[in-house]
Amino acid sequence: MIVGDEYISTLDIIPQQEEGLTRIHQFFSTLKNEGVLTTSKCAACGHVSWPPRIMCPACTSGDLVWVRLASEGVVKAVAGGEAVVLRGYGLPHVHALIQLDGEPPVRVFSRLNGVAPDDAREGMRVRLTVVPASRDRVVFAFEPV
Amino acid sequence: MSKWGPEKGTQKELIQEAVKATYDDCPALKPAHIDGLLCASSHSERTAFMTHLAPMAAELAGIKPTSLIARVELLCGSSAAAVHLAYAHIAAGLSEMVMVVGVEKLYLPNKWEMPWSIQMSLDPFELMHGMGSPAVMFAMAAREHMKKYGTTEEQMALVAVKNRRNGAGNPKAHFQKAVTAGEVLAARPIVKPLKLLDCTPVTDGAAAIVLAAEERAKEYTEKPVYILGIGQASTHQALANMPDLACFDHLRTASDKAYRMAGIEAGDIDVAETHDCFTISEIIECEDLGFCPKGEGGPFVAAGQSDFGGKVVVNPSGGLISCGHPFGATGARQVMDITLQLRGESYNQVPHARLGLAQNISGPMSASTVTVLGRERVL
Repeated sequence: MIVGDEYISTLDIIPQQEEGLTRIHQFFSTLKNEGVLTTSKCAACGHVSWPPRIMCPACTSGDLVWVRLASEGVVKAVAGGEAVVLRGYGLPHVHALIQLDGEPPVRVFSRLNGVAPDDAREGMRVRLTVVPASRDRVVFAFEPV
Repeated sequence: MSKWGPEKGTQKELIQEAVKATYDDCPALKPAHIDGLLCASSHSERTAFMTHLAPMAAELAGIKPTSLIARVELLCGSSAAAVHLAYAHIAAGLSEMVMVVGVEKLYLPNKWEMPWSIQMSLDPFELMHGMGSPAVMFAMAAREHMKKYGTTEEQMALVAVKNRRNGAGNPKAHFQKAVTAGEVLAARPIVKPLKLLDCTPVTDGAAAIVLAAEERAKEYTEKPVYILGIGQASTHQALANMPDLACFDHLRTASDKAYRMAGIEAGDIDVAETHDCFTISEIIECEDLGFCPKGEGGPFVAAGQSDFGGKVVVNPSGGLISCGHPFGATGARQVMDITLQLRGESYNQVPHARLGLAQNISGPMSASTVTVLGRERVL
């Protein structure tokens, strides 16, 4: 978040991504460098979490490994419009819950780019896209296949 | 409670206005009689640059707590959760008399700050997508409910019509003007299918209530109202992990617990203040509170079953849609309104109301807080 020329980290809605600032920096570096979504899987019980963790909420193990998630999926729920604008974000906005392909089933909430709000539908096939953010960071989004 | 709306005044002033109304309601009650205080607020650090809020509220209320002093935060359910904690503290014999103050100051000179700050309630992995308004996720819930159960925009509009008509007589409400179904349906879209009048407004406000052990309460009033059952539950925080967008599973759990504790069933409730942050919320809540079968919340409101003369009067205060929704204050406001109903003193009285219910959902449709109140201690 930039106000005037001051960066205020406590007002920043983009996660801190650097090693030293977050222990899940690998999620962001893999997204940025390889264009791939990853998450944590428990080496002890096999539970896959989303968003990624450092402790397994199913069995409390701290032994987690990174697994790659599919870059395509299907829209399960969607909503968008032009009345709701958040400073720094463009209009129109479309947001979706996306069921990623593959097993285990992981569902993510994301912005859906490249489609008008009235054209966005449940059942649409979508694919991952990586969007640059301030201070050399990235966020993930999806767009129609 | 204070007057709710876009109010001229700071958070400290809203607290004082609400607390004064509570003292004025019960002239025998003096600050020195109260031994505990819980202050509920979700956004004070950002909207009022204020933390350590409970001692602030206690000092303003003239109270020097000796048993309990803390802030409670559960976003939209903050002061409802505070009521539960105050109840438990009193039931455990640790406090005798506890004031619960809920407050939120949401109108700020910089208009972009409030929508920005309410993003705090999202998981960072969802926060980064710039949702902008809770209307996005409730629109998803509405679409899912329409697809699954055939709920219509007309049925949703009838929730707004009922609640705005109820709020028209509420001198503390943000909106005190009835609307027609045509006006609701023709209002500008916020996030389809939700339109402006399907949504609670941005509101400043505070509410204060006092909980006491039974024998203490009877020293101050001939008409104490009893908390008969409480229940809370939560299923998720990330919206992606919500089990079913058209069902508040946590509300089913929380209300079942509250009904069991009270020894009642859903059908016994005469009057309810539910969390109609959006019209679709009240429809889903009527189902998951057990007022009607799952999926029939739309026909339930359309048939007048949630109105005067129906099975249960829902939101006779006007609900969040009329009163507004200063997050941390809403739960206490609802308990206050149910208390007035059970004392027979409401501005929109439900005849012979004996059992009432207050209910919040909070966060990304994440958690439920349900309180059952009664005119008598034993049914």
